[in-house]
Amino acid sequence: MRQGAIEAAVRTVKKRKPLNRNWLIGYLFILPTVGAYVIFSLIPTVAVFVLSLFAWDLVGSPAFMGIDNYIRMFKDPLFLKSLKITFTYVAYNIPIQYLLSILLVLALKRPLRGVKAFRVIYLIPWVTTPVAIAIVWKWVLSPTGGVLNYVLDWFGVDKINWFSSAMALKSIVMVNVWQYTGFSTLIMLIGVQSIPQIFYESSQVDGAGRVRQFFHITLPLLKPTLLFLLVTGFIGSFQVFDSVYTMTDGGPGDSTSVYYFVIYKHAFQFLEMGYASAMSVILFVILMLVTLVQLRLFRNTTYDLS
Amino acid sequence: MKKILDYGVSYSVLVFFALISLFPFFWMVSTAFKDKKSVFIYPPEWIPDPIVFDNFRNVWEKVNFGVYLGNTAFITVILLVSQLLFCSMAAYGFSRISFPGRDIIFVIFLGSLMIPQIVTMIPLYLLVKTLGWLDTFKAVIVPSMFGNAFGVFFLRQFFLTIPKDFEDAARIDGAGVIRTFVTIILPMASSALVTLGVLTFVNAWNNFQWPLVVLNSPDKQVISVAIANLQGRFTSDWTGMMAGALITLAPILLIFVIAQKYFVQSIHMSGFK
Repeated sequence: MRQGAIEAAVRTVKKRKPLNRNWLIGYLFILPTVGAYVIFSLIPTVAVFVLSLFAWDLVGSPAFMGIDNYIRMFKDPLFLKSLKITFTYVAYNIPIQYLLSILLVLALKRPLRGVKAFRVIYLIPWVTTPVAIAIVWKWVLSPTGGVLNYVLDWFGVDKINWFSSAMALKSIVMVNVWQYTGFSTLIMLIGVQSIPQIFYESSQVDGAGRVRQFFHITLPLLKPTLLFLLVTGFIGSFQVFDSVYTMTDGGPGDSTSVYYFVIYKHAFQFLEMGYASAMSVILFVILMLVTLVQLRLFRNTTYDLS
Repeated sequence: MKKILDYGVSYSVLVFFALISLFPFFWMVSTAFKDKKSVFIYPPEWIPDPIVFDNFRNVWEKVNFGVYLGNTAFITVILLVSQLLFCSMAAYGFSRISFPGRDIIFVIFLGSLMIPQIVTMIPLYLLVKTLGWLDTFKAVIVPSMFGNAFGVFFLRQFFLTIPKDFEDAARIDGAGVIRTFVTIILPMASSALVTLGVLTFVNAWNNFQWPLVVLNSPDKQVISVAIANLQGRFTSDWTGMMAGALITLAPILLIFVIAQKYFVQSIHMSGFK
């Protein structure tokens, strides 16, 4: 009997052995990526909250401040202004980009000859180095010798000073819309093409016109795609940096000092690590809230197809 | 008749936006080959006359663009190879090997897609500084060489579509998990790997903000930072700056032309959740 028990035990051990080895291999496969995620992403995310409670210029030792950084922030005119500038930027950027995308999608989904070539062309701006393309745009928009003002002159438009304090932010919006509209257009196009044709056919039988089809079929069924674009678009727009750094350096005055740019300045020019961390925390909270609101808004109205 | 009008409008819209998309590139190339004197001529010259190459020579010799190009290529290639390797390993682990806690770890890991880069920037900078990596390529390479949630998610979706029979057949033939992964799964996933690869390449090449912060000495700079700095050195010398921009963009545009199919493919994969 004893013998039998031992044999059984040996058998189970043998049976389990390859299984355990597989577990180990599984953990080893995910270890580099997940380990790096913990070290370079998760811990820094926690650390930024801790850092936001200190004052540190990298030279001396960090001094505990409690919530003083946060109190200072709400008395800091540049902080409030940069929030306003960033919100303005997003409020221009997202609607313009998505309206243009919808317009292009409506043209792209037609069975036109050569339509695929256009898709590829619209994607080119998306892949190009933002800093390099910002410099090209700076030249295109330049007040002296800028080619855009020359072209606009053909249509009777007066010279525009693209980098005046009233226009600079809009110019940055323009460049970013130019760069990313192709991407959102393609995402939307894929969404539109995945809508089963039968919906359009049956609504046609019911006598629905193009406009009604657009508002009653295309838009509602596009909601998951629009949600994806909104969430990623907001997170991306709040972090606009490269084009501001290259084209305007936050100016003239503070007129294009977007949030990320101000954080960058506090951290790496004024060496106020604690204060810059507190600003990052606030941005993190804003983005979380915006994302949650978007998810909530869309969840209530999502249509169940199946 | 209505149809012709309809198509006419669609085409006009498409062509108009195509021209807008391409125009800045045309103007960059045109200016890069211009003589310094003919830049500010009014009305502007569309095709440079004479065509000159001095601007490229200037950027190459006076500003060391060759060095920056080399640095960027070095960093990009290492990031490309390592990210593809580690992302596909993790994706395989998360999709095809079962072990306790796998799905919970995956969900927590996916949560990192929600963390904006800006949040981790300052602590990461302090970490890199503490490790003594400031002003070395390690600072740019190591934090992102192990891949990211997007890449893992993307490849995992693909691995899940490969029928299990292939792995079973390999196992019956006596192949272990690692051999199955290398000889069966990876070759089958080659198109997904190329798709992720072109995106990785573009991101690594275009990266600006992080190298700006962690690399300081002139000989360590990457090309995106170098082109931004060109503004200070070439004050309103647009021919030189456009030559620099063209050098920066040429590799990206070349890869785009060769692999455009995969870029379109990558959007298909990232749009679907």
